[in-house]
Order: sequence, then structure tokens, then C-alpha cells
Amino acid sequence: MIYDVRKLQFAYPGGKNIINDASFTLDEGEILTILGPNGAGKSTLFNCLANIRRPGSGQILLDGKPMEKMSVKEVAKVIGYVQQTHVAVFDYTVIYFVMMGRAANVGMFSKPKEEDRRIAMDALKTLGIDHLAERPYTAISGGERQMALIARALTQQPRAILLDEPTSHLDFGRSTLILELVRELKSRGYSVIMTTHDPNHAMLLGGKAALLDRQGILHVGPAEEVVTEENLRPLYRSELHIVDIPQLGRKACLSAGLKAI
Amino acid sequence: MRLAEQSLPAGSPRAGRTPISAWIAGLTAALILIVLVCLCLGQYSMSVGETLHIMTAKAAGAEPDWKPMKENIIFFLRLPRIISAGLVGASLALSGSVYQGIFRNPLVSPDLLGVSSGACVGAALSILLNWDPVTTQFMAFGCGLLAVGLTLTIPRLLGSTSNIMLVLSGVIVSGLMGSFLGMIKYVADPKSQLQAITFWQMGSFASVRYPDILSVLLPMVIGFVVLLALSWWIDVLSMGETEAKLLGANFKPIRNAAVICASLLTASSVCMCGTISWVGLVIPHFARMLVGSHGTRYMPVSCLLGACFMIIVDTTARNISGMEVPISILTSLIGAPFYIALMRRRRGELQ
Amino acid sequence: MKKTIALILALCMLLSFASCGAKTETAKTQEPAKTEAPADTKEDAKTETPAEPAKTEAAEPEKTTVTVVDSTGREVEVPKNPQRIVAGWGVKNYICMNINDLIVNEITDKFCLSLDPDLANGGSIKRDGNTTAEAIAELDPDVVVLKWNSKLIPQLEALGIPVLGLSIEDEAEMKHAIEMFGLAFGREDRAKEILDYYDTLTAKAEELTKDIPESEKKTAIFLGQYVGSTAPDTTLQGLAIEQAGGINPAADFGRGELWAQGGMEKVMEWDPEYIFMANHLTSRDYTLESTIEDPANQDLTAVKNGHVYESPCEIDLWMYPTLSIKLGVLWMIHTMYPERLSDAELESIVLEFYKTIYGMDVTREQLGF
Repeated sequence: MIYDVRKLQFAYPGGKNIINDASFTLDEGEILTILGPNGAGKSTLFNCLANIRRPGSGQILLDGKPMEKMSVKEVAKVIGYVQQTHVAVFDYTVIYFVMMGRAANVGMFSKPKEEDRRIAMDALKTLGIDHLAERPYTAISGGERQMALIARALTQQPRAILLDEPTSHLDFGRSTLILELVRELKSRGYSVIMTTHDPNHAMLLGGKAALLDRQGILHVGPAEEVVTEENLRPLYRSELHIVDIPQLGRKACLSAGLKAI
Repeated sequence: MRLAEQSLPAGSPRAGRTPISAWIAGLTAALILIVLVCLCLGQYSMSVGETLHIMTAKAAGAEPDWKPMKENIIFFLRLPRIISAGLVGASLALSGSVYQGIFRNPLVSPDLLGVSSGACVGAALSILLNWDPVTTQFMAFGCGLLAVGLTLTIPRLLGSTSNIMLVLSGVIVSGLMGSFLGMIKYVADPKSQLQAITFWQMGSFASVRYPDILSVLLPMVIGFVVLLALSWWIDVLSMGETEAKLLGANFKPIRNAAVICASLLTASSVCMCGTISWVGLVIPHFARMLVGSHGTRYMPVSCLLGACFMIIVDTTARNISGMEVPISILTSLIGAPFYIALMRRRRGELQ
Repeated sequence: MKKTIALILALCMLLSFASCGAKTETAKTQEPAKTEAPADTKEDAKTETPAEPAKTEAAEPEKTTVTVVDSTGREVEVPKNPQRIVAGWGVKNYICMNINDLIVNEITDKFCLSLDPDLANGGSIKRDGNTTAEAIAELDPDVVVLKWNSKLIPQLEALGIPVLGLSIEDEAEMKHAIEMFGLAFGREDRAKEILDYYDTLTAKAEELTKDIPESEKKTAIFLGQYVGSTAPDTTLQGLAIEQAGGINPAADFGRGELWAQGGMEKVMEWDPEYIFMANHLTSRDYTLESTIEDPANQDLTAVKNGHVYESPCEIDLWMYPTLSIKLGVLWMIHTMYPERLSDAELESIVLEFYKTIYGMDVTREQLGF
């Protein structure tokens, strides 16, 4: 078991609880998609899971160990984190940038070895961007940067990969590619946690889904059980429908349409 | 799985394929050559051949057949000056590189962050209180750290951490330190203290002798060794605090070690020759232009370039006319236009 | 609030009383000093006599002015026989004009205070550490003396306060300054007396050195404020070497500069027989000792022969542009050519100088040379 989250609670100073008693588990090779309306605390929950924020109470066991007692190095060996955006200051080459994923394995006064470089190169090959290795990170496209970020997370050789709204800056086609990539990661044995705005992503990916509502309650379960009309309608306060698309042989989440003017 | 779109055909990668060892070997050779040439140049009329003869004969342990004064000029005036200029140039260039990486800001340098002026205040205060040179160095170092701490705090207090804010904050702190220095100079005894402060603040290598070099050698060596060993980590830290931690970097200890060592280098330079501007800003950029942005490559190159640059500038300062020209005049004269040219070349990446 | 104001007012009154008291005391102490100077009683009497009626004149309504040309060539209208002088700069050069009781600002110069400790009781011309035009104006001066390039000169002019810009970097400026002060302060006779004595000393130096054959003249340089800086003959210090019968190899190097920053290599190229330094120009890290001990300097002829000297005299500066520079010249003669001016002769001239110029009865020990 990679994640064992128990009764997680979080509130900003002086505010109401935005996460209430959240509990779930995540196994190796499992996908968890976190859905929720804007402002519900999706990012906060995600940041707690990524070790960026400390929960108010409750516990996160990472690979059986309490996360708050683990060093950043230990956490980095289990979780690879892919943030939404990365602002580049210096024009590092892509391979050098990806190699930074080895930080948890490099000594304090040392630098990455040939072995580390090979691991980084493998990650680039896995993602099919090895031709970019020597290009400056500042000179590649947004989609390529997203790939480089994922490659860097893979270079950490983690067991879980956390993706924070990986499709938010991508066009329609590339969003689908990312979802395929996530499924590929799962098949390679990685656990994946991903936040998204689009319920369709949860349905396409399968696995587990988690809905965080405005009261901070987290509903977790198999995607097909959790992503339902009756759950999503109050969540998004929207007249949405989940319909079968026979041509594609899958279900899709669609809004009812715009109100008549 | 080829998910990313095929990107445009790669232009010549800036990082270049020249192995870094080649660069270091080349620059070290250049440095040695520059030192030798600069040893031959000076106000005392002595031909290059004669200088070389004295140096080679001296190295071979031959009996001197020259005026002893000439030997003194080479080994007691020119050599310590060249060594100290080299050390200061390397220190300022390296600390500039480190500050730029740690604060994720290509626009900062020891002088822009207020470290130099802070160190100046510390040293001046120590002169005012008639403390010994070792304490002076500690004071310079302490006040330099204090100044950089203040520079980093102001943007946080104002709730903005943009690059420009940090630069502005540095300007504020430098100004503040300038007024502290003014106050110290005002209360200083005009006879001995004020002159010592003013003279040393001007930034000159004219009075540097071996004992001055020895007194800063240890902190400088510590600074160089630690920072060069941390060069890769400084790049990891340039990802920002959150990201660096997620990658598994112990952000705070590394950052603190790097800032302390960079400030140690700056303060040691200030102790030796006062404040010299521009070097810490321009040289790191120049180094990046030559060998790319990777800390493991450009930081050692930055050191060597800084040393070469400073030695050339100081030799120019003592030879360009009959009189000594203040170093800072030359560094700004060369630095400012050079920096504009660099900004032009890199404008797309800075924003 | 009211209390504070009352307190401040009371304090101001107290202070003004205190300064009044100080003034009268000054006048008192001044007199015996004058009478005790037997060699110059006549001369002194002359200066005192016209000065006395001048004071009463000034009190009369038809206040006339006199036009004075200052060091920068400006024409300044100064009230005849000014009663309130602000000595903003270079007070050493005109304190010898018997104007102690006319100076209304606080004097910090140690030498002047040793002459007259009451000079410390004047009003401050500084506000928050900087000399300001307003602070000067508050003292209601009849005339102000400032350094020639002071930024306050135009400000004070705008306030209608006469300002004399003072510069003393060469012999001509020195003489001009003495004349200017004589005229501006209503002390023409005293100025003449001082100039005459100054010329006597110049003549004495010339007399002592005129027959030194060119071949026997010693070479000497004067080290300035920074390591490796020298004095060209456009400075009083550089000129002093020539007046003392020496040859200054740095005479034409960096003419017009205050200190010609040529570096120690230049000094080594000249390799003079004598090196002179000034006790007011050295600092913590740059001293007579550091110059002698610097390994780089070990083969300098002056260092090898032990001919590196610092101007003596603890209470006054002999290598500083004031009248005392003449003592510096004589000291240099004694140092380079002791057979031409013995220690005893130098001593008697020095003691006479302080008596004539400043009315001081000092011993060699007090002067510390």
C-alpha cells in the first residue's frame, strides 16, 4: 500500500475546515483521480498528499511510514510530483533539468554521476522526448515542458506519481495523450494521483475517483461508482448528464446545455 | 510512446559540446599567461625581457645579476597585487553566480544585494572601534550577511517576491548601508580612522601585500571549495524552494551554506580592497554565454574568468596613464555596456 | 507641550548667557597673552589700537562695507570691522588675526582650542552632522569663511550673508588669504605683520640653502595621503622640498593634482635619498612604520639609509597648508642638511614662530618635536 490516508483534516488559520476527515488508501499500480469544484480545496488536499502542506490533524502513511516523520529525500524516493506550470529562470538543457530528479540520490557535496544521467535519459526515451535532451528548456514548447516535468518525476524512480491538473494548459488532442500516458504509467506499476476539472478523465482512466465537496467531505470509491449524475450535480451545481455513447462504447459526462435566453 | 510533438530542428545548443575540462584547462592557461604578462607591466621602467630573465633566474635559483629593487618590484609589489586581484575577481564572480542561482534572479550580484555595502559598514565600524584586522573581517562578514538578510526580508514584508522587487530591495538596503557608512565616517576621527576608511572604501589593490592576502586566504578557500562542491545543488535550488524540496533537496541547509559562503567570499574581497562593482554581475553572465547555464560548468569558468578580468582591469588601472585610475571607474566603464549587450542577447529569456 | 517649549526656551537663554560669559572671558585671557609677548608688543599694540575704535564704529548706524576678493576671485562685500565671524573652514589660517572674540561658532580644531579653549563654546553650525546654511544663518554672522568649493556658498549668498571662499594650496594663495583676512576682518596691520614674518622665514630658508651646489642637493619626495601618492610642486608640500634646498623628482608628476597617485613603482623609479611624510596624512594601515617595514620598499635608498621622516610636532601640523608649513620647510632643511641648520637653531625659530604668530609661550616639550 502506497498511500494510507487517515482522517485528514485541514483548515487555513481562522477559516472553516476545507478538508474533513478524509480517508482513503491507494495501492501500487492504482489510479486516483481527484475531482471537485473550484475553491473546494482540491489543491490543498493534493498539496497535503505531496508533502507541500502539513495537515491540521490526521495522518498520511506513505509506504507504511508516517509522512511527517520522513525526510524530504525519503519522500522524494516514493513520490514524483508534476506541477501545473514551471517558470524557467535559467536555460538549462532538458537532460540537465530532468537529471535534477536524481537529487534524492545525490550526496550533499556531490553531483549526478553517469548512472544518474542514464536514468534521466531512459525517462526521456520512455516519454519519447530524447531528441530534446540537449535543447535549452526555455526553448521548447509548453507541451514538451510538461513532458520534461513528467520525465523528471520518473527520474526520481518513485512509486507514485502525482500530477496537478496536467491537462489544464494543453489543447484537446494533447490532453488525451496525457491521459494515455497516465494509463501507461499505471501499467508500468506506478500509482498515480491526478487532479482534474473534467469528470470524463476519471471515467476514461477508471481506477479510483475522489470527489471533494464544498463541505470538505471526500467521497472515494471506484470511478464508475463515484462519478455519477447524483454525485456530480450537487458538486458542480450544474444540470449535467452521464450518457452512453454507443459509437465509442463508453460513457461521457455532458452538460445539459445552455439556458435559453 | 512518442507523445510530444516533434519539435523544430534543434538549433546549435547553447550549452555547447566542448567538455568543461577543456574550458577549464584553456582558461587556466590563459590565466597563467595573463599573470606573466601583467608581471611585466608597470610604472617602473623594466623591459619585458629583463622581467622574464629575473623571474626565470629566480625560479632556477641563480645568483642575482640585477638591481635588487627590480626583484622587489616584481615579487613584492606586482605579484601580491596580481594575486589579490585574481582572488577578488574570482570571489566576486563566484558569489555573483551563486546569488543569481539561489535567488533565481539573473539580475542580482553581491553589490546589488547590499552584501558589499553591508560588509563595508562592518569593516568601517571595526576601524572606527580600533579593532584588529581579524575582527574587521568578522564584522565585514557579519554585516554583509545582515544586509543580505534584510534585502531578502523587505520583499517578503511587502508580500512580493518578484525579481524586480528583490533588486529594488537591494537598492534600498545599499542606500541604507551607504547612510550608515556616512554616519560612521562622520563620527570617525578625521586624522587616522576617516582616512583608513575612505582609502580602503575606494577599492584599490595598490597597498595589498602578502600578509593581507594571507589573512583572507582561509575564508576564501573555504568559500571556493564549498560553493564549487555545491554547484549542482545551487542549480537544483534555482527551481525554487517547494520544487527543490519535492525533488529531495534539503533546501534550507544548502541555501544557508551557499549564502554564507558567498557572503564570506564577498566580505573577504571587501576586506582586501573595498567594494568593486559590476564584476559579480557581468562575469557570471559572460560565463553562461560561453559554456551554458549549468552550474557545474559555468561556476568554475566564472571563477577563472573573474580572476582574468580583474587582473587585466587592475593592470590597466596602474598602467593606463601615469596615475593610478580607481578600479571601479574601469569596471563600470567595461561592465555597464557589456551588461547591456548581454541583456540584448538574452532578452528573450529574461522577461 | 507648553512645558517643553518653556524648557527649550530656558535652555536657549542659559546657553546664550553661557556663551556671552565665555566671550568676555576670552577677551580677558587674550590681553595678558599680548602683553607677555615682549618681542612684538609694539606690533601688537598697533593692531589692537585700530581694532578697538573699529568696534565702536561698527555700532554706529552708517555701516560701511569693504570689498574683498576671495581665493576664487569672487568680489565679496563685507561689513567693515565685522563683529560676528563664522569660521567654517581653515580657522588655523586666520585665528592669528586676533579675532578669537569675534568668532561665534564652535571650533573643534585641537590646535586652536589649545590656544583658546573658549572657542569650543560657540554655536554649532551643524545640523544632524552636516554644516547647513540655516545653522550658519542662525548665528547671524557678519561674514562667513568656507572652503572655496563649498556648496553652501551660493546658499548663503542668497541669504545675503557675505561668504569668503578659502583655498590654500600654494604660496600665492596663502599670501592672498592673509591679505584677504586682514582686509575683511579689519586687521590689515596684523596681516602685514604676519606676511612680513612669513617672508622673513622664506628668506631664512633661502639664505640657508642658496649656496648648496646643484651636485650636493639631496633628492627627496613627499608621500601623500595614499600609498604611493606623491606631492607635485603645485602643492605646498611638494614645493617645500625645493624651498628646503632639495630636488623633488616628483615635482612635475601630476601637477595640479592634490596627490599624484603614481604608485610605489614610480617612487622606486625616482628612488630619492629622503622620503618625507606628514603626521596628519598617515592612517591606521599606512604609517611611517608600515612604509619602512614594507618588504617591497627595502631597497629604496631612503629606507636603507634610514631617511624616512614624518613631520614632528604633536600639537600642530607642519606639513599642512597653514603658515606652519614654513616650519616644515625649516625642519626639512635641518633633516637633509643638519650642518646648515642645527637642532638648537631650529628650536629657537620654532618657539619664536609660535610666539609671533599665535602669541603662544610654548616649550619644545609641549610642541612635541
